[in-house]
Amino acid sequence: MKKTIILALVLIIALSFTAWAQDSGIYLLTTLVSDSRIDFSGGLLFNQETANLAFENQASDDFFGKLSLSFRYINNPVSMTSLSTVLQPQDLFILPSIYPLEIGLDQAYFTVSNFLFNGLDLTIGKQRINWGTADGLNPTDTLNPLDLSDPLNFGKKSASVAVNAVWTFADDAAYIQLVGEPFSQPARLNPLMTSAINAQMISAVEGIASGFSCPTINYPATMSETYLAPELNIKNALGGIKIGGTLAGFDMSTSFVTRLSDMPYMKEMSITGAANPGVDLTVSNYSYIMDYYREYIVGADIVKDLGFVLAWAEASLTFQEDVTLTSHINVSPAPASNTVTTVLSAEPYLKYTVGMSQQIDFFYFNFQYCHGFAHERGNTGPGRLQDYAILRLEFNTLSDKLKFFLTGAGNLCNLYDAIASPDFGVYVMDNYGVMGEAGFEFMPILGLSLKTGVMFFDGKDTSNIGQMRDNDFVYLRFEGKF
Amino acid sequence: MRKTQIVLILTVVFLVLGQAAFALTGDEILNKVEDTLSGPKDYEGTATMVLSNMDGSDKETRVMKIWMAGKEKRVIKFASPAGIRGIGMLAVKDDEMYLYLPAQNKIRRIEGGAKNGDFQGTDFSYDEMASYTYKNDYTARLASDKDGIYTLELIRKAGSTRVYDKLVMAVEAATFIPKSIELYKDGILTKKLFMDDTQKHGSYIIPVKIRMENYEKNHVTEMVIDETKFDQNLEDKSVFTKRFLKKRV
Repeated sequence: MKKTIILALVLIIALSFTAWAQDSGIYLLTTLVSDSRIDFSGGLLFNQETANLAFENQASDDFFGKLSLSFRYINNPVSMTSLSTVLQPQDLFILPSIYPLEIGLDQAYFTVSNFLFNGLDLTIGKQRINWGTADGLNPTDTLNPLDLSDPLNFGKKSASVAVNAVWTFADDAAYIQLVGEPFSQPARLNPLMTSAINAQMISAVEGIASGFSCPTINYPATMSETYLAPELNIKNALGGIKIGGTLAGFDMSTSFVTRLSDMPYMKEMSITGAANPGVDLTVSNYSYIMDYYREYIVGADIVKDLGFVLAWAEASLTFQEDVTLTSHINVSPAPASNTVTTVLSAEPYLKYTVGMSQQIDFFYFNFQYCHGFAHERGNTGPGRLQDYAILRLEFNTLSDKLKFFLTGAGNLCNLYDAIASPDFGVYVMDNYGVMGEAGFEFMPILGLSLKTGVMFFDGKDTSNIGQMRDNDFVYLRFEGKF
Repeated sequence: MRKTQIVLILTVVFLVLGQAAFALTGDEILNKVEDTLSGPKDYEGTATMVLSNMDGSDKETRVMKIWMAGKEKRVIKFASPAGIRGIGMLAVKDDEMYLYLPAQNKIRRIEGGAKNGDFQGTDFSYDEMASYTYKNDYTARLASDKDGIYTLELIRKAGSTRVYDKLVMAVEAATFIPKSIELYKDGILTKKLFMDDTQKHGSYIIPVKIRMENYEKNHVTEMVIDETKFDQNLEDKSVFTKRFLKKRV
């Protein structure tokens, strides 16, 4: 009885708040997304519901506030102890394991327009600051960390706490933007990425075993994995400046950002054990430490409607000091060693995207060539920049209620290497990746979208897309906004 | 008697010649149409759009705010329903149009071809939402003048990027407001715009009820404009800017 009364009270309060909110100019937008991906063997690769509740209010001409909450419900049990689908008995008693739910503060900020003087807009709080003119593949979009919780949504970023001041002048033809973040927020990774880091450790152990001709490796029960989150110190802050404007129909900008890279690197690895040459290797301890390094990013972008197409180009040049890995190997009978290797050299690297799009009647096409996805780093090494060409075609019909689409992507480990290679064709065949997507989206009423399609991958391990070749899937996505 | 006959003949000749001398050409009428439709220095209004199939089924209602100045400058922002609230469009020049998507907090330049595409699922294209300019792209010929209606035939000029090769415009002679505009693509009637109602505000006459019938899609969008305000010096208030585009209504 008590529970019923409490529930009724909560309901009344919620309804009263909604009514009051509408009367007071606070608007509520709810977005619900259900996303399922099923591979050809019936496995559920992705199975989640997300929701976003956004409240916003333009309280006056010069004062705007927004608060949005995000919810992510994973539609299958996930162990809270191992963060995998392999459950411990106690997981079956824990609500968050059986019904995993994440609740997050998506954005919370306010904007004051004409702050101090006319033309100056100040936004403070957790916010998404979206830089770059390219379509989703933005090398200059570095003020917010990556959110790689969905391995296929490469461009997704999380909002971060920032002070963001934009001064617009010359009749809106030019602006200067200054951004400060007290803390460089790390990226959100996904289990595939952390597994790849663990695989790097296993590979190092296997290398040692091979050196001793040991066919068998005995691992300890656990691997020690440490991620050093950036210290809460102003020295780990992020700062950015952007100057841009419109001139002769060109929208252009140039920018500079200094931050801790949102992607971690392996700073140290330790392997301790004893080898019985020719027999086995017993590892007593293996561990690694991940850390974050500072980088400096100079960016520029430009977009222009050329009449026959809308064309854009965006580039960033990233500088950093040498990023090194210290390996502590102590495996008897070999003497202990400490070696330092460079995993990312101080040589600056250039990411860029060029693209074009056009709509002709019911058809739309979008082509982009991109050197370096958001999570890639450097000109050499396993995480080096790769090359991607992406073409998307859409056909709209039934008053835009039905859209058919085709996407094709080609990925080459590195185009410069291919050109420098003595045999271009052999290089391509050894280092390619391809992705294809076909599907349709049905939007029977405003705010409702039902999308389904198939994605398939092929290629070699050296290319990022090629590594996904065993993950072809069919997907089904529902989205409602109200 | 003879004198009377001569006077009568001369009078008739003068009247005929006078009418010919003072009759407006197609291009002159088109100039007046453009001047009338963009008569106010600027104006602001709230538009309620009802989208439906031609038989009235599948009705959807949307509310948006519109700001206009001159023949090209436009800002349009959706106020409801919630799913599209905040989406906005800015037209500064014919080749400089932007779309603001609040979900991404990003302003995107719109492709040239998108200007001819439907504006957020309505039967108006971005171009038709943004502009009442015709004379730069079309040559007008007066096809008929009867019952107080000028019928103009507009033929697309060579080099124009407009999607319609011919327009047939029925213009009310008293006000120079088009009653209807037929839009032909490759000679086929594709859409027809009706200006069903006008309102006089001071010295201005503006269409307040506009309907676009789309025969390709068998779909119709009706737009009713109210809460209008005129000549507020919107350009001086930096309304036609990307900065203003991001503000909610």
